[in-house]
Amino acid sequence: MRYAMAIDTKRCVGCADCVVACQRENNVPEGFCRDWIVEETTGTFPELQLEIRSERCNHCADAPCVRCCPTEASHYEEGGVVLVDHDSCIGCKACIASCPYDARFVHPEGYVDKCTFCIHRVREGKQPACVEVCPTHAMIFGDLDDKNSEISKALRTRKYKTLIPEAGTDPHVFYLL
Amino acid sequence: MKEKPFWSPYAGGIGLGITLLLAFVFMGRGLGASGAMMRFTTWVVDVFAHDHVMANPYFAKYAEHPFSNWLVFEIIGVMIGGFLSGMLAGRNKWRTGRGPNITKHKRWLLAFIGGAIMGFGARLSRGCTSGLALTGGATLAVGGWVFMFAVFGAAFATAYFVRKQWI
Amino acid sequence: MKEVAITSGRMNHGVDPLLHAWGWEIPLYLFLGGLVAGILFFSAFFYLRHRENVFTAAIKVAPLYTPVFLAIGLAALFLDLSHKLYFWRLYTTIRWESPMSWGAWTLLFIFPLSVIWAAFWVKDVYPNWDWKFPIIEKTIAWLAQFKKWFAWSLILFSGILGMYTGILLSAFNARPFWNTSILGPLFLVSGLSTGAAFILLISRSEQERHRFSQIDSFLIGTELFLIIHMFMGFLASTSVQIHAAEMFLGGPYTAIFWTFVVGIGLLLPLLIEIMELRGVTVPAVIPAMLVLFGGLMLRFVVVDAGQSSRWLYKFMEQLVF
Repeated sequence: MRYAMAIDTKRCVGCADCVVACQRENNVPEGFCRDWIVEETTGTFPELQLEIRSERCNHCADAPCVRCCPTEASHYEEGGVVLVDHDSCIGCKACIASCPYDARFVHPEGYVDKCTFCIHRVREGKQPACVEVCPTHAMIFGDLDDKNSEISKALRTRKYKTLIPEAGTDPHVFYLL
Repeated sequence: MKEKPFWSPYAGGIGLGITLLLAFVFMGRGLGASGAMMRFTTWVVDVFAHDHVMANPYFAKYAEHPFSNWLVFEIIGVMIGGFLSGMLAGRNKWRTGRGPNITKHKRWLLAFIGGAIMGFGARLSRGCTSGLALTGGATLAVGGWVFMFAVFGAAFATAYFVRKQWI
Repeated sequence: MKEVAITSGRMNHGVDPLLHAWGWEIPLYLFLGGLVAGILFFSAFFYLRHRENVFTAAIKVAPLYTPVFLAIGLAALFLDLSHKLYFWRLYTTIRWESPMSWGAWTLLFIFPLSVIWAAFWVKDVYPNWDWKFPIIEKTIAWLAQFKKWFAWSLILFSGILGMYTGILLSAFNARPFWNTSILGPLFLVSGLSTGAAFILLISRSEQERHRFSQIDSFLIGTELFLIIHMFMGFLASTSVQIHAAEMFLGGPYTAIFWTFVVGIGLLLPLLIEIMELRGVTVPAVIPAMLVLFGGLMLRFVVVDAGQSSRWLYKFMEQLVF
């Protein structure tokens, strides 16, 4: 089982519903966000291209944050999801420095926090909050090892990319182009 | 190590002039000194009395990034250069420059008072001997020349009354 | 044209606009750790070469300061943690892939080692020292049989202590400025140099000062070489690292780095030490203090600059809130 997320850049309109839904679902402290919207404009007027992405922790397969954690607080769980054990985290912030996507932050309660792929919802068979709420159905979450899952089909039929693959972390959030 | 003799003052003057020219070449601006001191004191006062500094428009301007200025680094360089020159000439030792007819403590007190007056004057005229007289004079700024004549005039007028510090 | 904007307004405290996870605590610890590594290395090294009576300050006096420096460094590290009550979790596991774990365990070993090593020499420096409890006196006398073993293990552990901090930073590929393997040797050499400078500072013997002046000059020269190569490496690398190097070549860190770290911290003491070796008298305290200052500033600048470099959304540094 390998959980992953695919975000269709052609459907994402940058409404930021996913940002707000995540904050509500996970009690993200005020002033922090676990995911964010990026808009990238390329080209010269009038030939402009716009790509809109919803970004978050990429739950990398070769995560530097897991490797550098001295207490194993940052670890892999089922499906390759990267989670932080609040009671093991000492707040050394090595993982924050090691994330090339700057996806982590220090929670006011002292431990380090980030997107968890809403694993508490996934374990109950539901979708992550951001995927559930997306008004254009731009986000797909599922099991890559299941050949018939929506995400596997999307990655077979569409062109996709990941962010800064040259950072070498093997991210598992894919952007359908 | 035996102390080496001082350079001829004419040679030193030419050296200073070349330094001034190089300052213009490398930094695009002339030398200065009292500005660095003023930034330092602004920073010190800011640490203790931030509100007072911000209320004063003169200080507030410098309080934001007091040390982000070439003068500060120039003065650090001056101190290093002076130290190196003294070291190479065998001149570095703790001493008080004074004449035989005055005690160390009186000399320090008068030096402090004179320095305070000079600092006040430097900020009043927006420059001291290096910034205003030397650099300003070199660029033929009227203020620079007026300042220089005033400095020498006042020095001549008052030197007699404080001569005991040196002779 | 390529314009990137985070339109949902990400401003996570400590991460945006620039990473500010580590403040003054980490550079202070890095400096003290390097200093202790240098002192313990020289002490153990010259002990093994039987120079106890010639290099008294290096072998006997300087190690007395190391437990204090380590304690201050560890206190700074503890202060830096954001989840302090759970700090003990560090010692529930050892993670071979995490330099932070190596560091935690190395410190755990080197702290008692430094205390014991200092205990061996304290009576030589302070003859009236009284251990108060005979058991302590006996234990130290018993352990003193193995001084040579302690010396060898100190050589090993001080080497690890001096180097691991650089390796720790260089393991963070996400910070392009730190992503250079030169950082490990640079921190080691800097640590040894500050150790030699500290010994120079407290030494009372002309011969010892002369020797450590020579050693320090060599180490400073090596450090300059490593710094130049570090920048050459960055400029020959990918765009993120060129951008990181540009912070120091015209960017915000230019003045601080080249004046305070390289100029005042390396070139000036090197020049003074060379002049001293050629006969010009300079009080040893001056180059020693300059090297110590330079070592501290190096740590501050490297830790801060590394956090200012990132892969994505570098435009964020333009935002000032």
